[in-house]
Amino acid sequence: MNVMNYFCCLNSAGTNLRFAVTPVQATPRMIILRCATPAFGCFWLYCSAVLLGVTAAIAPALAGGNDSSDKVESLPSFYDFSNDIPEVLTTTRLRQPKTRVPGSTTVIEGDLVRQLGISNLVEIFRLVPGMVVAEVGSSTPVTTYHGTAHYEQRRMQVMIDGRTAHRATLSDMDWQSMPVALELIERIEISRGPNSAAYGINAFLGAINFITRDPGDTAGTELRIVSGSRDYRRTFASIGDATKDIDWRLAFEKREFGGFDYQKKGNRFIPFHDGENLNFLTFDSRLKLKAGFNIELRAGVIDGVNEEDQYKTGYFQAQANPDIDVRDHYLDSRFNVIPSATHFFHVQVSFENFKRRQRWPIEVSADKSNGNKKSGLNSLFDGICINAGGDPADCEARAAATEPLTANVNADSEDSRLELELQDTLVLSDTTKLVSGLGYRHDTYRSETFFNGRGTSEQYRAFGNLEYSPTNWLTFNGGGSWEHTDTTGRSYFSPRLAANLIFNNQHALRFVYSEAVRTPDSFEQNPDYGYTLRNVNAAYADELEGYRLTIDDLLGQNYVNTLSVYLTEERIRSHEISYFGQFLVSPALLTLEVRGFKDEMRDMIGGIIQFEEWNIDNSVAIDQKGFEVEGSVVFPSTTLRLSYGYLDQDSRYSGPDSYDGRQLSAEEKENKLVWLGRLSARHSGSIAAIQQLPWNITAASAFYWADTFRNSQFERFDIRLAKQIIQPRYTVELAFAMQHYLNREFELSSDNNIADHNQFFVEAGLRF
Amino acid sequence: MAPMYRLLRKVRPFWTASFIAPGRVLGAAFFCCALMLAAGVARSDVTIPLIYVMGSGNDVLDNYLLDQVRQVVGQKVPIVPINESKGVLNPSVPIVTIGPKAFTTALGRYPQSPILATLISQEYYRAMASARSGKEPEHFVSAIYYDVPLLNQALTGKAILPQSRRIALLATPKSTHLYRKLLSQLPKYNLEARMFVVNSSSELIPALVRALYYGDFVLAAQDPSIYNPNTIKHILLTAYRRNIMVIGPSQAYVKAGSLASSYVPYSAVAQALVSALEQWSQKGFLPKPAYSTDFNVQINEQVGRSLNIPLPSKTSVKEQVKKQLREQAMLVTKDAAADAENRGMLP
Repeated sequence: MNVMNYFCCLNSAGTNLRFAVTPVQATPRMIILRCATPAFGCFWLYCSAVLLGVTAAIAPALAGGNDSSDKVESLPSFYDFSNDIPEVLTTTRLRQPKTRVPGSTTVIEGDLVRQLGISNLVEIFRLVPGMVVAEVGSSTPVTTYHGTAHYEQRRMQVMIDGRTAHRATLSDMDWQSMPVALELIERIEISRGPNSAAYGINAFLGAINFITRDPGDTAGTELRIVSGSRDYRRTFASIGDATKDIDWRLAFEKREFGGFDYQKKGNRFIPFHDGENLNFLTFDSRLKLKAGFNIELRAGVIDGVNEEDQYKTGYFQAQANPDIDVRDHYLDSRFNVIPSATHFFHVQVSFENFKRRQRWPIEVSADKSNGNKKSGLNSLFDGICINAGGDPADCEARAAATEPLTANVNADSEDSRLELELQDTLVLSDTTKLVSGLGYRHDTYRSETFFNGRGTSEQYRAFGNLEYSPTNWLTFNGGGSWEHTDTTGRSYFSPRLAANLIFNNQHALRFVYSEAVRTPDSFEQNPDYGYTLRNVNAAYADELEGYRLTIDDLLGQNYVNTLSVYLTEERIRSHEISYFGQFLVSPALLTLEVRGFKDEMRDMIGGIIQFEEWNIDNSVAIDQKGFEVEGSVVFPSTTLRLSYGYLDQDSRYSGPDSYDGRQLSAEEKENKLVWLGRLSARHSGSIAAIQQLPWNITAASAFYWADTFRNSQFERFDIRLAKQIIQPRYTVELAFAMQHYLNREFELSSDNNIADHNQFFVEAGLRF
Repeated sequence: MAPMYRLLRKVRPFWTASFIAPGRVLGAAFFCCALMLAAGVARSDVTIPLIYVMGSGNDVLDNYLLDQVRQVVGQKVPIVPINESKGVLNPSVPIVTIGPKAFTTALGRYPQSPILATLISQEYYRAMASARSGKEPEHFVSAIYYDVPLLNQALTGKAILPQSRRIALLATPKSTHLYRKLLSQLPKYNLEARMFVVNSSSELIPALVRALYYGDFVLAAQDPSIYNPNTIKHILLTAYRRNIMVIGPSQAYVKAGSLASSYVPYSAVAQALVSALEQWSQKGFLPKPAYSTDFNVQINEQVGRSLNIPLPSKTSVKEQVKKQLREQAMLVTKDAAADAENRGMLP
């Protein structure tokens, strides 16, 4: 190697010179003459060269040492391997900092969920300010942001890795059969507030996205068992690998739970059959085909039983527990294409099938001992006869029967959803980013009981969001989505505008305006609800074999039936002012987010959806306002987290005063308002503390409360102690957790009773 | 015209003696300027007669470093490249090697000459030098390490994330010794670390996964068996997905996605190099192999913002690290003094 002095001499070939030497070089004298003759020219050349040289030489020296450090970046490293260190975390791979997100988003890390010992998916949402969690029916978990209805809570968009997770027919969320294991949660992003602009029609109150651990991050094996009170047992096993071409993971989870201990029947308390026993097998993989192209493939199967109590199942007296057999499966694929550092897009195609089998025997009693003039059987036959226009003589004969009628009914259903989405992200410049896309959804539903057959519905949408930062302290976001759905046959546009004022990259003040729409889903709009009687045993009722009982066969309805009403969309308009800030107060990091909101909801679909009572209609207007706070303080060994939500809800009846000439009573109108406020707790919140102790022991405790649901408050204190044994080749974790219910009263349903207000859990896990 | 020509003819010898072709005028101008400048900047008391240099093979890098050296020593000290020289070298002039390859070559080819290795990691130097130990007098072979002590990197992490306490380390069975000193130093700074051992490349990700459950951040050392262009993508992506930052191994990785790294700027290497050579020429031996005392911090602001970490400035991080090191050093001196007093050695 030649140590090259920049100012060194010409080599013999003359090629290093900046100024080409003419072939006349061979006669040096001539050249000198050529230079010397226009002497002044040469002199000026010399002077300007000196000046240039001085400037060039001084400038780097003046700039000081830091300049040389910048130059270091462009120099390659020279350790033993090749000098090609790839740029891994490019602009398109990086998540948006919270100061730039156009809205309030709560991010719950999977580690927090596990450290607090949260025992099932729905309980996680007690940590989100403004969200509440409750149980309805036979321990069916329900959770929502900003309240409204408890049964069939269907006003939030729930996704798993971008794939819609709620049911296709009635878009409520079945949390018990949701195929996400607590161990596989990377983080959960909850977008608080309407966000149809980004997530589509169902993101009415908010959107929840579960992000599971990337298959590249779960190489190795993990085993875990948790066992606790009320027959709680959860078993988890996963195995995976990350290689050059493919990252994959196979996971199995078994969830068993006994549910609540007892329910109230009349004046007695009897056991409550409301547990679950579900198995989940999921497969996640990423095929890394080329540098800018990879395919994510996910598949899963869910199989098990969701127990339902015979005393909580609708109109007929069930003679056995009508447990639901769950058999769901899904297939999800996503093609990620990264053509350049500033542009990437993905195409997601997913299919999910929800198959539920629920069959149970019923009995219609001929008993008149209650002092009723008519027995259940009488009423039934009267109703059928009148409806079917049968022969009065036959009707009377049947009405006089003394033998109870037994039969089997079912509430089987199978619905599937096919979803396609294309989303493109383009970084146009340092100040501008455009996200746009298209979506299509095709739902198919089959149910003898709910739809009397088969039906389909389709939705398509186009969406976009432009993020523009004219200066580094101001970011504008303007987005919207246009959607068409055939449950209403109309198209909707939902905009969202936000302005973020950012100070110091650590504080942001946001102003957000958004509108969203929730269209009635297939079951709300086009039900054909009827139970088909099979294996009818009474001799007098042969013709009833295979007869499909509908609401028209039921007598004695003293309320309005809205089955024929055509439902339209619900609308929400939301105004938000929120602040997000981080304060580094060494050695602690304080993070605070405060959100103030004022929302107007119109044409809300309120009422009852049941076989024997169906009175939903777009009939309620709700005004909500309030504020939420979320904060955390992180010290080296301690983390404190706080969330609080205040919700003030005013509702009024805004629907028709009468249906088919029949006036609605004041009580009926009031009921609709009440039902849409069941989960609208005025105050809710949580406090959590996690402390690292010596010997790898972690102590975590949390206090959750919500005030009030229908009956009383929810208050619970959890504590968990975990010990990790970290060896070079494996990690073992042992933990003990306790939940203490401070409030002995049930909060929502009088059937939700726990015998012992202390619940205990033991955990053991192994990772290698 | 003619009289002017005659005038210039008198001046010609001056011209021709120093400059031979018009094209060289500019080059000469730069040379003069640099000379003037360097003369102003250079120390006047430099006693180094000559510097032998064996380059790394990368001209741009070598030139840059040597420029920095020239800024310290001035232009009067000749710098002689010896890669292709077949002549006999003056055995009293140390050979400065740039990079690990040059060091290995010089050790083999010029066993009689003193060698000063630069731009080399402590790990590499020790591995090579120990192979030759015992043959030369002490301080005949020395080095100026290019990496920063792991403690500096750990304190850099702590300065950026003051609420951190647990550091995750990845090592192969052969590289666990890299971390031994660090593990003993950390408790004084309220930090603790744990090593996750990787036996084969297939175990890297499972070990990383477990490490990410433990640590508040990952400290990457100069260990090419774990941190190299093939593995760094997976490591950075996995850590990022878990919301955990990676510190190190060097400033080249900060561009890839590490949150930050301390590093030694070339100017500091040059200063240390010149001091070492001066010590040789004045006292006849080289100083012990050591890290440069000066360092800078490189931070990837985009990654930091995306992780919602409020980032202090580079200078602030550097000052904090220096302050912590100073405070510890003072504590040690105080302890030593107290000890000495207790033992009656001080009045």
